Amino acid sequence: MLIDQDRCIGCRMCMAACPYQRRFFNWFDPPVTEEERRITYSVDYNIPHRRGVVEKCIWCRHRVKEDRLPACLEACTKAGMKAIWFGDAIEDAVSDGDEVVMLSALIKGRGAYRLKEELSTEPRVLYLSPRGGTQI
Amino acid sequence: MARSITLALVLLLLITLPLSMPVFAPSMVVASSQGRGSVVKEFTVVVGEPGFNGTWEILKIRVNQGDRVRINFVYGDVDLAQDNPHKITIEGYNIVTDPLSKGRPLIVVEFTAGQVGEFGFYCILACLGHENLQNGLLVVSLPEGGLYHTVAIEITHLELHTLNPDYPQLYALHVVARLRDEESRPVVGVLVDLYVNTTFGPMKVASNATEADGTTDLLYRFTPRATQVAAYFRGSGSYQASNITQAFTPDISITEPDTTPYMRGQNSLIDLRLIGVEPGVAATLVTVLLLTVGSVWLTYAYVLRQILRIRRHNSRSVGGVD
Amino acid sequence: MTARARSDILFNPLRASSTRFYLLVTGLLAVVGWGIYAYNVQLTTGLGVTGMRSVVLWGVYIINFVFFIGISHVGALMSAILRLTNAEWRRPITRIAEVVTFASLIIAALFPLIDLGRPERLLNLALYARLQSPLIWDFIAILTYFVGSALFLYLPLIPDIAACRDRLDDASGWRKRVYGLLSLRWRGSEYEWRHLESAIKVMAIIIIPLAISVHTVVSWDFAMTLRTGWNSTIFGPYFVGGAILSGVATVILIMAVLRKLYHLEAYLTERHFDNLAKLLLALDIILVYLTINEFLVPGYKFLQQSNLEGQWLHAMIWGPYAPVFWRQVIGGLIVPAVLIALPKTRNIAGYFMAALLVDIGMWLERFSVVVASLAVPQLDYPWGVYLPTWVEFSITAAGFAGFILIYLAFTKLFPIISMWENREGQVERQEEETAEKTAAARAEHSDRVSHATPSASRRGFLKTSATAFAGLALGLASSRLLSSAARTVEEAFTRELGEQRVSLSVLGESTPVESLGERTRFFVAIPSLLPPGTNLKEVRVTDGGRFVALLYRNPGLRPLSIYSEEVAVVVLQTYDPRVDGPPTYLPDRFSRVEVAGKRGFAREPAENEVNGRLEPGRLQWWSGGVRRTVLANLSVAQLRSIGASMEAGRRG
Repeated sequence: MLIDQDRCIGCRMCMAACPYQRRFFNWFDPPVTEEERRITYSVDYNIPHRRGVVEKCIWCRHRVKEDRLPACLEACTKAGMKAIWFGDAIEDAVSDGDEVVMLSALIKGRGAYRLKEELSTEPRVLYLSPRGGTQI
Repeated sequence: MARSITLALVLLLLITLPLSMPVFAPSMVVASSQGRGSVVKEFTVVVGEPGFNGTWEILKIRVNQGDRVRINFVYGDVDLAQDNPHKITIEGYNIVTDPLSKGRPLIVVEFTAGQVGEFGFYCILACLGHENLQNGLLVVSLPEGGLYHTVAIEITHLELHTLNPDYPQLYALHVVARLRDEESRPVVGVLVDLYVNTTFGPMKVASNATEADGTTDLLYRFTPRATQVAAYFRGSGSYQASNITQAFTPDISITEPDTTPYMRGQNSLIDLRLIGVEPGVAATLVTVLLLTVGSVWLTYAYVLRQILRIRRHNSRSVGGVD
Repeated sequence: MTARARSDILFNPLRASSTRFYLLVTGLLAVVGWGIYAYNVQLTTGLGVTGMRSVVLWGVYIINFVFFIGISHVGALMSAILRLTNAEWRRPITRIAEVVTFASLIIAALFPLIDLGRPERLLNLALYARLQSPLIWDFIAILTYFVGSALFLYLPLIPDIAACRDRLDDASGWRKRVYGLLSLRWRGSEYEWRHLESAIKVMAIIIIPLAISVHTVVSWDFAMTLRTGWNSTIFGPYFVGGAILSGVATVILIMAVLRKLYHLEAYLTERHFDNLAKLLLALDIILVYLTINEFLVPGYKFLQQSNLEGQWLHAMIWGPYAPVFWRQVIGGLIVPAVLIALPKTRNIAGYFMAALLVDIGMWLERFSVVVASLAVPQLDYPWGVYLPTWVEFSITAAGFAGFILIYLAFTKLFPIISMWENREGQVERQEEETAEKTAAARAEHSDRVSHATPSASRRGFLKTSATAFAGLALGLASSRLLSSAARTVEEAFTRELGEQRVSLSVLGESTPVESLGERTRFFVAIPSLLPPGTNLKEVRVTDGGRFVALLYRNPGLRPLSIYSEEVAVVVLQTYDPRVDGPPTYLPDRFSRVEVAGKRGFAREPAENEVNGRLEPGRLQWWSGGVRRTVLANLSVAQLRSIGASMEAGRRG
């Protein structure tokens, strides 16, 4: 889900509605580097950050479009932990930077769960149980 | 024409589908065509709450490549008051047993251990003693001496059919691969992997062990954007792979489900579509809203008309102010 | 005492205004001016000048919005419901109530705009409207209600505008023209009355469900989310009940003030206050009932549980929001009910007190509804904290001042009591004679005093405009004076991105070493091997020595482009025992190096691909909880030799 920074009026209704409190508002002028200023804005970027609009994690769509993986995943993999998987539910494929496995297998095998399941928000963020988790 | 064939194959597949995953292999199998230690090694494993064979320590079952393995899983929780079912899976060989319980205290699993390696077997039900039943290990090793064989793999059957006509983007890809060694003998019990190419790279989507005739069924729920399907046998122990099947892309056009309804520029005026609501319901809600709000504004129009009437009446008639 | 002379009281405010009035208006305009200045601060700096942050993201602005929409319901209740039920005692009150609705709607509509992060994009609300959003329903409902209440105010006003047109001979030219236009050349004929009455009746009928739906829709701004405390099914009735209650209380307050100010004792008798107070009591009890429902039901299930509802209840009843909650319940609901019920306080003063407490209580109730539910963390996060700042208080005060100003402006333009309706009712009332006689005597006196001369109206106009300018100027000037001091301090830390300069304060609010007290001691490694021509320019220290910066000048080297002043070599030292080595993941073009055996990384000076600026070479290494950095337009090898000299050299 992306936020159009050109249209956002900053009413923060979405922030009030988010049950996970995962949207953030630019209360002041955020620091902006020179290269960020020159980017032609598109919805796929969170930058340049602007005062008065809402932001959220957009799963590095600008990187995914170039066939790269989100920054957090790349950092985690390069650091050796490989704790984050990213993928596509339609293709049933997720990658941790090294391997590509079937999403359905990962969910079943690692006991993936979602937060606040009872709210029917059906988030696309899953948490994997530690290895040796129970399969029911 | 193609459709009726497909339909027939669908029916055939639907009937044979449950049998294509080896829950337990039929015991009447010709085991001699291997030409290698084709003994039947039998093991009995008691599955109970304290663990495999009564202990939580690692239980190793050692066999040689090519052996026919028969494991008798015995229900070990007879003295427990309630039923404590277990389901044992053997990694790699895609074997999952039926639940082992009081009513079914013995399950026999038989297969050919063609793939060299260490494969865990463990319980996958949330049972009592679940954590003790995670330490099973099937060790398939290469016996000393012996010849090496070169194995060729080919795809003998390829089929793509819809799983559910209501969801046309769900296809099942059914691939039958056959392995033969350099003397055209079938290679039994080795693992064949099916890979597809995804946006993120090649992904293993199915894996199955070959049967007595060297063939194996590989089933994959085919998704849009998957290309370059290929079957791999990577070699194992005394078997060396000589080829990977040619990568192919099934010739179908799959319409991806419409998951991105709103992109920039689409919602350019007041949007009467309601996301996540069925069109019929959305239309009803919007109509109701328009009717209620509209009727209020019509009332205002009536009031304005009264006002204008008063004004017109006053400006028409002659006479001064009171 | 003729009826005409008696009704002249109603025209006195329209004729002239006392100095006291002008003083009051000046004061209110000053407050509004102060509010405008505060809003300007918010526009230039950002919404962060308020106390809101990403956890408690709605604050005083939304509270004021809900509050003002709430008191706007009284027009529907007083005017419409009482009209339709033919309650006689409503007659003097209807216009007062309708003006409350009108004025509060104007102010209420402003507050969400003030709350917007991007107010210049307001039109997006209409252009890119998405019907699923509660905000759009707000927009539609409030717009519809505003038009409806404006019509509902205007229709019964027409005959009185005609009266103004006829009797205010001394009104200035533009005013006469406005009266003439708005009165539709009213003459009071049968035809006109018929049409007017039918229009009023239709509006009265439609405005009741409209008013109820407006506040219900505003409550759905909260109830349609999944938050604890807001995810309640009775938010609609809860808010509407609170709205009508605060509206009636506001009318009582305004009635009491107007009665005093404009000598309206003949019209607004004790009986009217008694009836309104009884209405207030009834609504109060209804709201107590709704509050019980709102809290007892989740309380029975979740009190002292650890889930979100339990945490929210704990916060409201014993926790950080308990003072607000109990003040609202006891001070806003219980005490006013007692005041009205006790015979001792059953007078106008008592009612005034009770109404004031109710209004304050209702504001606090909206505070607890909005802020407490936002502060409850929805997952394992820390609690939100909300402390309103001067900007929010100023704008709130300006909002209330604006409300009063609009009200006062109305009272100066049109009679605040609906005369024709009153006259209608008077034909049936006879027992009011004695009261009227005493009021008439007083009115005669004030009549003589306040009969305006022909030029008084022009003087009045000049006075008004002069007051307006004076008030606003006073407000703006005083607020500017007081905050200019703050501004100079602020400017010291402002970053001027337009000129691509970074002030040295970015080095962590560091101070030059000379200005440190003698008590501060710190250690820093000083390089002994520096390129020739390098001189120490400045030493800056922060945090008691935890961060030290050595700034060197060297005319032979290219100055660092990232600092505003002529600095060629920078040596930084940070003490941070949490980190003892370089990160495992290095960005592009960084390489791992060792400086005298300590692990670090470095990068050659290179041109930035995007903007062509020369990024200096950087060498950074860790040694026992201390991170040292050397920045200069030198090669990594040269930087390493500087670094090695630091490790080997003296410390001081």
